[in-house]
Amino acid sequence: MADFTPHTVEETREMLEFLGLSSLQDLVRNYPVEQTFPLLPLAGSGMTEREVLREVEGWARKNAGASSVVVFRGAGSYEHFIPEAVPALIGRGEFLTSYTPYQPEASQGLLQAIFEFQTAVSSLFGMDLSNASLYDGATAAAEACLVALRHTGRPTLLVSEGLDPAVVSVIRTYVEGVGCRLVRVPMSGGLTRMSDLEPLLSEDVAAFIGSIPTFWGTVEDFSGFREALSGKGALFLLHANPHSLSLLRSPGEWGADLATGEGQPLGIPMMGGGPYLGLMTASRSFMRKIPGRLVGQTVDREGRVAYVLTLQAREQHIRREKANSNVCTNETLLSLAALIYLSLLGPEGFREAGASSHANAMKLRKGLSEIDGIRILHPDVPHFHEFLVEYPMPAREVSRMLLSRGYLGGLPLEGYSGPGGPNRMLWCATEVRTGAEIDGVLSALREIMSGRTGK
Amino acid sequence: MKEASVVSPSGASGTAGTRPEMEPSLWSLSRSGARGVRPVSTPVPGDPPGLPPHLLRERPLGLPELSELETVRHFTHLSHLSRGVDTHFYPLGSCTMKYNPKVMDRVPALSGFSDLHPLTDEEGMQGFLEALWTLSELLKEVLGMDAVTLAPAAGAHGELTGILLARKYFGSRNESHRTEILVPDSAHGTNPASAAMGGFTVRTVPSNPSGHIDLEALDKTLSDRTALVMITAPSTLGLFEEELSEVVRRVRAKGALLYMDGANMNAFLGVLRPGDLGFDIVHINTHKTLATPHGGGGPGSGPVGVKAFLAPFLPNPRVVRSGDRFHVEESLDSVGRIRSFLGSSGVLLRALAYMRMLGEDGLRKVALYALLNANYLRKKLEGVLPGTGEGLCTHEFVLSARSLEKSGIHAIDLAKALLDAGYYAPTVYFPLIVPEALMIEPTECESRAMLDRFAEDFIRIVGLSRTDPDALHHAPSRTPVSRPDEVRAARDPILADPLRDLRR
Repeated sequence: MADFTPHTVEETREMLEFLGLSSLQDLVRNYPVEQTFPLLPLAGSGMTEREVLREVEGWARKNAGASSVVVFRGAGSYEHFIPEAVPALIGRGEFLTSYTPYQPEASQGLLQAIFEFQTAVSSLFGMDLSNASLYDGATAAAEACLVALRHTGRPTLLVSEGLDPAVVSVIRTYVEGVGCRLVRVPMSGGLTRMSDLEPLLSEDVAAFIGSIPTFWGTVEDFSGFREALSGKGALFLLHANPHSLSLLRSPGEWGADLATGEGQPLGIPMMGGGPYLGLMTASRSFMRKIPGRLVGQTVDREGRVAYVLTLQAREQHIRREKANSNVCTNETLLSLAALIYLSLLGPEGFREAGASSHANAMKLRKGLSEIDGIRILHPDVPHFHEFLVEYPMPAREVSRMLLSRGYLGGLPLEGYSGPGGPNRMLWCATEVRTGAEIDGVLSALREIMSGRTGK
Repeated sequence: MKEASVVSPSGASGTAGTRPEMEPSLWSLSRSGARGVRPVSTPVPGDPPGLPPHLLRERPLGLPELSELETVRHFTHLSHLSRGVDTHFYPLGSCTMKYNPKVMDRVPALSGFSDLHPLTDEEGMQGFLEALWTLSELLKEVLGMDAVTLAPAAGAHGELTGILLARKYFGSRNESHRTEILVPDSAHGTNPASAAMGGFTVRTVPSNPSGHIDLEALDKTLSDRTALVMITAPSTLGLFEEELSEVVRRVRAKGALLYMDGANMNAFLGVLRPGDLGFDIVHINTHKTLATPHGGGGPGSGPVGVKAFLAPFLPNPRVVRSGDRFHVEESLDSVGRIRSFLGSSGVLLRALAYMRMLGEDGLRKVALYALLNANYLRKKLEGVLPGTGEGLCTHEFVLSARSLEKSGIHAIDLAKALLDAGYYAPTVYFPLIVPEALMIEPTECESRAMLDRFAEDFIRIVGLSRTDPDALHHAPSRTPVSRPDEVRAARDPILADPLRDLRR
């Protein structure tokens, strides 16, 4: 049995004596006695380090992780190159085992790192400012919607069909309590058009939220959206994959009021879906309205540059039920990972990674377009690193056959509305894919498709 | 050369100390053209082929340019300017800053976990689903609950989940007139904030002078509009509600549900179960009770346990077992999705390993030794400053520095002097109902020697309020900076390094 209590038998006895108690059990005498010390049969008898590692390794081995299959799946979680310095640095105990920096004098390193994270992310998004992180991209988008609802006092949110359906679900969960209505802005030909947005605009609309790129991989042209929305007093929200902002026009350049994103592509492992990193950026006029921690630069009593948690009057520990959000714990360690990732790659490396993802995806798309039976959707629309295809058979079956050949293929879209459907699949290639891997999956697909069509 | 955060562990007088040097900003270290790690061996030349110019970024990325070594040094220097449990005693009340066993860092890093895509076909993630399912079963057992969701990303996220569950449940019973949530005045700020986010009206229940829920006040606030009563057990004063069973009875009689904020679950682990106490919903902070690291503010995780009648409403998606296979399912009755994927697996797997390592006896020792350490330290400090509550405390205790106000000393001054003495500070000014509060939680992981040393320094520092109050006003003097000007920070906030705008 492992044990992280340092007391010797003698020390325990002396401490109990000091308290005038005869046993450890006496410490819980204020608890309802008949309910104390329940039997915990599942808990077992405890393990050593070695034993527990053996057990979890057994579970880990049964999974098709990226070390055993070649991943061509994205849809909100992406395999990217992560420099070894990232885990090495965020694993330092001073960061890993610290709490939210409530005592600034003893937390300057962490506070400065958060300040630098805010700097890097706001810059990447082309926005004035960033907070210190939220739980994940989806909850960040939902919180941005709540900001818009509060700011405008209006009840309707226009949600682009280009937004990740999982993100839309989370927004729905978050806004249902406050009696808000979600209206879907349909896409045509893989894009959200101004002609689809305009008829939906009214005095009831709090905000429109769009996606860079869309869940389906397309890259939208948001020209004129900002003007159309502010003309009606509505806010313009964008949800962006930060990896794509290495190349694509940023939310700030499109004129967004608030912009959110999933920070996982910035040096954070896929990890079965979490913990991830919610990014929230805003223009300065929303500085006092956004949720989450903010670190500001100031000076100490002797005039040294110093960093502190600031604008805390927005937060739950001060404002309670009137706070901007209930968020307390965030994802600081992962924001540190994202900052270190961006510092290690620098502007040049970050652009190279983005450009390689795009080029690999385009190479894969071209290869797929040449396979009989596979239809590429939205062939004339710009894409970043994901795209849709359609098979003459259920995509789930294709996925299963690819998995048995060592590939985690694109995501089968059974149960997805909009451009989704049982025979469709969302493919992704990032900068980590090699030419040989792309050739390999193409030849596996040729085999699968020829088996199917009997050629 | 820079001085690391080697702070003398004791004997700080509050007079001028040596301050470690601050680290320059990342952007001031940046050198145009410098390269760090290269992500690809053969960069793609020219403009991206499939993207028209009007969709491309024009604004500079604004990222710093450094070598890999320069980056590593920068962040290593920053780490020297911060304190964690690994470096200092961290008696931060209500935060359970216990030791985070190193073996647990290895678990999520294993291939098959860290590199697992969350939308992998079920047959490619059976081991992962089994691990999460196993954790749910263990949590059900220690919480005394019938079902668990692992989805919530933090305690406050768990609270919101619980509140949405209550809304959905009463909706399903045509009791949507229940629009109020009751929260004691000693509660964490997240409780009322979560209730408001869930669309409920918050009503505050005052505490009686001994810090327990005032039953008369409870009766006055309870009504057929009450949906949920949120109770922190043990309370934020480090007390077990002596009338808890009576509170439970009265809330039930009104048809409302009971939520336990499990932030203080370290006092119960293996010894007492929220389900047995009569709670319908509870969250547990893995980053407190189950030893997952706080990471400077996160990631944490806040699994929620519920009684069987609430299970249909738990968030989507969920892990279920049929035979020896594990599936990911969605339910139409669910409150919906509260995050993108299943849960914060990297945190949850650590918690699983912790629980497996401790076993039944180890889990019990957590609560018992947390109580032993808290009561020992409290008794050591008896008479130094007045505390709350009579008899035994639970895993933490609260002292009030109000009596020092006449010497012009406040709780914050004591906290800063403790930083000089080589500790992190206790939680100050919480709970709000105790004036000049200092909330101290030693956890089960500290040795008697550390508690003795801390008590000695604490007593010496309180003594300074009479002999040398100025020394306390000037503390801390050994940290990288003295007290920052928070008013200036909030007046015209600087939230990003202006140097970024000079970078490409």
